[in-house]
Amino acid sequence: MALIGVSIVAGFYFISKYALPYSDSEVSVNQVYFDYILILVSLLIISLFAYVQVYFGLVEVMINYTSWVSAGILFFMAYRYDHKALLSMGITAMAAAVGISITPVDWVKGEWSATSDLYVVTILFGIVVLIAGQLLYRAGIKRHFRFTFQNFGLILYFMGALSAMFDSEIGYLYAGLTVVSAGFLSWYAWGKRVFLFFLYSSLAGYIAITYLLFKLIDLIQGDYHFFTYYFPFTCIAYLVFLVNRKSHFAHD
Amino acid sequence: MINSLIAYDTAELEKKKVLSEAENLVKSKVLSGAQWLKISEEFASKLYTPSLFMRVLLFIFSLIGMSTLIGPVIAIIGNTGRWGFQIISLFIGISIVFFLESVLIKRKGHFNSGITEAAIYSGLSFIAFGLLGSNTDKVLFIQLTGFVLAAFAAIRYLNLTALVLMIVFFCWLLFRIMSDMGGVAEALIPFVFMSVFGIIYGYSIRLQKKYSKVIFENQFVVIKSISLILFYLSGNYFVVRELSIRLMGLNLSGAEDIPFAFFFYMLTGLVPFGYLYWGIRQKSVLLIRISLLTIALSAVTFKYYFSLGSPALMITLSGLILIILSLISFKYLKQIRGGFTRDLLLNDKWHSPDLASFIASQTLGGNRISEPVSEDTIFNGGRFGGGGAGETW
Repeated sequence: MALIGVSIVAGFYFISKYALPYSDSEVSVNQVYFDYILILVSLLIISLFAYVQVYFGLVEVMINYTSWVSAGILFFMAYRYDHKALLSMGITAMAAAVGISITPVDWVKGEWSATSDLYVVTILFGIVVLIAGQLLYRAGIKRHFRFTFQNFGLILYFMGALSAMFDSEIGYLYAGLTVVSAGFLSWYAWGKRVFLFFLYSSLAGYIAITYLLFKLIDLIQGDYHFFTYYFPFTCIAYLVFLVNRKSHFAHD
Repeated sequence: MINSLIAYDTAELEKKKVLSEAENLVKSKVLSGAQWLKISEEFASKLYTPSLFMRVLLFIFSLIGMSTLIGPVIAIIGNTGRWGFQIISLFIGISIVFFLESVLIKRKGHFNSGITEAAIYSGLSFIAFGLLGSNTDKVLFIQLTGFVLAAFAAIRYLNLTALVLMIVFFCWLLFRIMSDMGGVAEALIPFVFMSVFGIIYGYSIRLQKKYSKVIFENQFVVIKSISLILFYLSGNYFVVRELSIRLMGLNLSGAEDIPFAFFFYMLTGLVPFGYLYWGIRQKSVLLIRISLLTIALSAVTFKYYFSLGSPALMITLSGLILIILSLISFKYLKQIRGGFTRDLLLNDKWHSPDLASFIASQTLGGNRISEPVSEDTIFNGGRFGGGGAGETW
């Protein structure tokens, strides 16, 4: 612990020596080790924090707050010193925090209780991350971070929606939600040429539509042979549709 | 001669390569906008490659579409028994390859568009299935078919995955032949593999000098890195020992050593540092990267046999060794030594901060349940990748 403490202090000395003052726009430090030291120090702080908990037997008391604190530390470091990797880690830690404190999972005892609402949390958290990214962008704070927020938000949102589709009793509602939001996102991403998001929305939308068709055939007790034709023909039709518009996404 | 083997128009390929190099230089602000305009006019290529994410999208949809094509065909023709099934599969495979050649490549000028890759994989898989069927008892036949088909795709369509597969099938074939021969041949397997991949590495360097064509650049990178890694792995103590026990039925009790154990320990320890030394001497980033990878693997290997008692200490130590080595190289390359420096002068497609941040966040995955490592991976790809190497990077 002492060793970690000393390393943190040394690391902070190094960082403060080279760090530039905070600014809303992109800041890049012209020092080769800077990025590495920054990540190292952030992770060391979190490890020290974990050690302190275990050492003083605080795990059970602190379990609801640890991830929040980690996320807080990471967010602070990310914004203060302008570092996307730390921002991603912060979002991940925060997702863990939300997952832990909302779902009835008792981590200390190692028991998994029902995780039925996890996907609702995931969807909502995804939306929150998206909105947060957008608001910060509007406010002009670290505009280049928006992509990271959007990326995580969309992944969480679609993962939540898709797992809800297969898990939940009212899967068709989630499927409908996915189709609508994927349709909207496709349109938006296509217009803005953000093809990563277009990829997400196309895949999620296709899965959701296929799911709805399965449900429909179940309902009318139709013939599953339909899918022998469905997969090749829909995929190829979509391809032809895309390739005919290829000038839109010709090169990077 | 080589040009006629490749399905694409090589002149166009070269233009495309020059164009993307130039684009890179513009992004790194070495070339000016006016120069870029001139280059992009002069080297405008007819080949069509969409942006990365669209490629992924097109790939996924065309792979699903093409690989399910057999459904409607079977539904129309009806059940035809095993032979009929194989013939249909062969027929579909050949049709897909024909479509790829005549429509996608010749008429539309697709090159690595996602659709082409999907067509190569699904078409050749159908052909392989058509040839092999479901009988897996003719062992050498499988490896040979795989090797020939992969080599076809690797050369004719310049496909890198096929190139990797080709090497895998080649190793499998070589291993199979030698272990079937038994006796001395079996014992010589590590040395044969080392010399074969040593020769392949040396030969590919010579070949690269001879055909300094830009279009094969990536192919050479793949061949060279795989040969270096396999050269190291065939001398790695862990790999030799485990493969001897598992695949060749060598009986060893826990503490017993394999024959020439000392020699293999030496190789495990020395080869990575040899790579590092040569990497710096010969100014090859590839060698340096591979040396770092193999150093991590060696650390894991030695840990496996000479444990220091606590895994936490061991991981910290090996991480420390890696960090110290990188720092030393960093310091050493502070000055430009023979045109080689630590500073990132040019933009590289792998140096995307968005990608790096995403990967970094994955190391935080705190609530992941660790999966049991499967025991029967033949080429030992999975065994090292987990705990040790992943965390110490």
